[in-house]
Amino acid sequence: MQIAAGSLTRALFGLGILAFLVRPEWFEPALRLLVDQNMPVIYLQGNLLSLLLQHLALVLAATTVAAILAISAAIFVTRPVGSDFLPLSRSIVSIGQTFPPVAVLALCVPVLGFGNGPTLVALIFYGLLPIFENALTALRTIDPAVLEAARGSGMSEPQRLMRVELPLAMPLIISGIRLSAVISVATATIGSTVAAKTLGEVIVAGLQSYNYAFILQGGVLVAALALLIHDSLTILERRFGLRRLATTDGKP
Amino acid sequence: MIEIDEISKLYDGRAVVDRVSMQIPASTITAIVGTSGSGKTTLMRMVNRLIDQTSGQIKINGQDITGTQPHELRRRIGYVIQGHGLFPHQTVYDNIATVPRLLKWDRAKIEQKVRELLALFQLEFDSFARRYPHELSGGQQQRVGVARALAAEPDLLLMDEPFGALDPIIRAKAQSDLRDIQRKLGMTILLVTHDMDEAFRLSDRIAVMNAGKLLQYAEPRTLLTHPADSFVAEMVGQAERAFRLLSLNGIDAIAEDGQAAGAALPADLTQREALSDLLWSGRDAAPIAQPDGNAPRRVTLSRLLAAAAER
Repeated sequence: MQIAAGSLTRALFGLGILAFLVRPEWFEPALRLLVDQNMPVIYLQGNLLSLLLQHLALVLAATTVAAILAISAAIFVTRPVGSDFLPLSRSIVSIGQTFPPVAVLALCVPVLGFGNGPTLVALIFYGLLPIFENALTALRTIDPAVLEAARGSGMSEPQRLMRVELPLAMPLIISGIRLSAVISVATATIGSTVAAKTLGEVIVAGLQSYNYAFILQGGVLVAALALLIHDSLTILERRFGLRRLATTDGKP
Repeated sequence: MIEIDEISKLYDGRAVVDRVSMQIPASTITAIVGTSGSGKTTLMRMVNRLIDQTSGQIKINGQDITGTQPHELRRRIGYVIQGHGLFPHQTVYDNIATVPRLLKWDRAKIEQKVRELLALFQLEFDSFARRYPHELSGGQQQRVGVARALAAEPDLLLMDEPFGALDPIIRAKAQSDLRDIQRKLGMTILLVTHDMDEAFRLSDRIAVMNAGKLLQYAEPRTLLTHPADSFVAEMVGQAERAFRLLSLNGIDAIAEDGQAAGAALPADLTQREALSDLLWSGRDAAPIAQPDGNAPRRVTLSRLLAAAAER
């Protein structure tokens, strides 16, 4: 029941968002309550749908790069050759997470100029840690008996990685990617302060002109995007994980 | 045939396996027994190069094992570990197909092999092939683990405490099944265990190790009647020596012609089981079940007692 009610709420919310993107004027009467008489109610300086898609593209690009970097690093430091680099790579990604994205933006603008570039860099840095830590945990907690069996069966190192370790680590890795992507959706809004094309533009415009309707539109759309990414990656994660829920206490 | 020649493994200058030499005849079961830390597992893991030896030489069928890449060597040697180590993300079929796939067998040959092995281990193909390991009972997981090790038809099977995770009833069944399968397929088995009963029940020869040294490598009977030293004597269990001796042979070896009263004993009983039955039922002799028309045969308490003290 609870799950059904949850999905129903999600579905209604999604329909509402779609309706707003296609026919924003339907929502005008409601939003008008938030603003002064002669202020614009609907953000029209840019198409909301295209802003949303650009926002999504930016997040996807940053998360993809972060995932490739973080997973490669996690694989490298869990091999015998790379184990010496574990502390070093851990501190690098932790710094990436601790460093405020605003500071990264500020530092990148002189080098990369205004636009999407600095935002992409900030998001990549910021997104590394959850993916790296999850991938690391996943690769280091595989049942030693399973790894021993893989070695004993005569798998070479790459075969062990591709056929056993990565498939087993996948649910946890995807969960790290999900975490990172959701954080990036929110963080990407600040990219608009340096002229990146994201939904932050709407929020920033609202903040500058005390237009609460703009702030609400931007905020709700960002939240919807975060939910969408969260839900689709959760489904993916389940598909990988379902089959071996009960590996330890398995009885038929 | 495995020839182990003066093999040693040193960790930080300390010998975990100390100049062990033994010849394991083909198509036999050898159990390596010893206390924990005796080096028995290290010795076994050097045979498929999961651990590299510090010095000495191991030959399998005349070939030095260091002449082959470790992963290629391991594909020719079956390996069963405690707690089975099945791949949790793969079905029973895929688990068993592991080594044949590494060896790039064609699809039809792999499927035929998987069917054959599941039949051998009394697992219905249609209901088990697509299951995941967590959907199996402990005994079934163990059988799939052994089936996986046998999939590429290895001449040699290494087993590290293969029955350690099973409860006693399933364990006894798994042990006798293994014995039957070994007789049927004729591979050589090298098995590490700390369970003396298991070693006596399964093996043709037993190797006793302590502190990295091989103390004695002999047939079970010899270990009981002529232990090399006090450690071996203790290990094989002096208090139970007579019963162990009796458990090594069937009653047909000491059966004699003649009648006896009471219920007949199955012909495949061990002498130990027959003695237990006679003591429990208070008889001096018991008939042995014979096919119709054969002369009656019996086993007597006095012959059992004599057999228990035979050396």
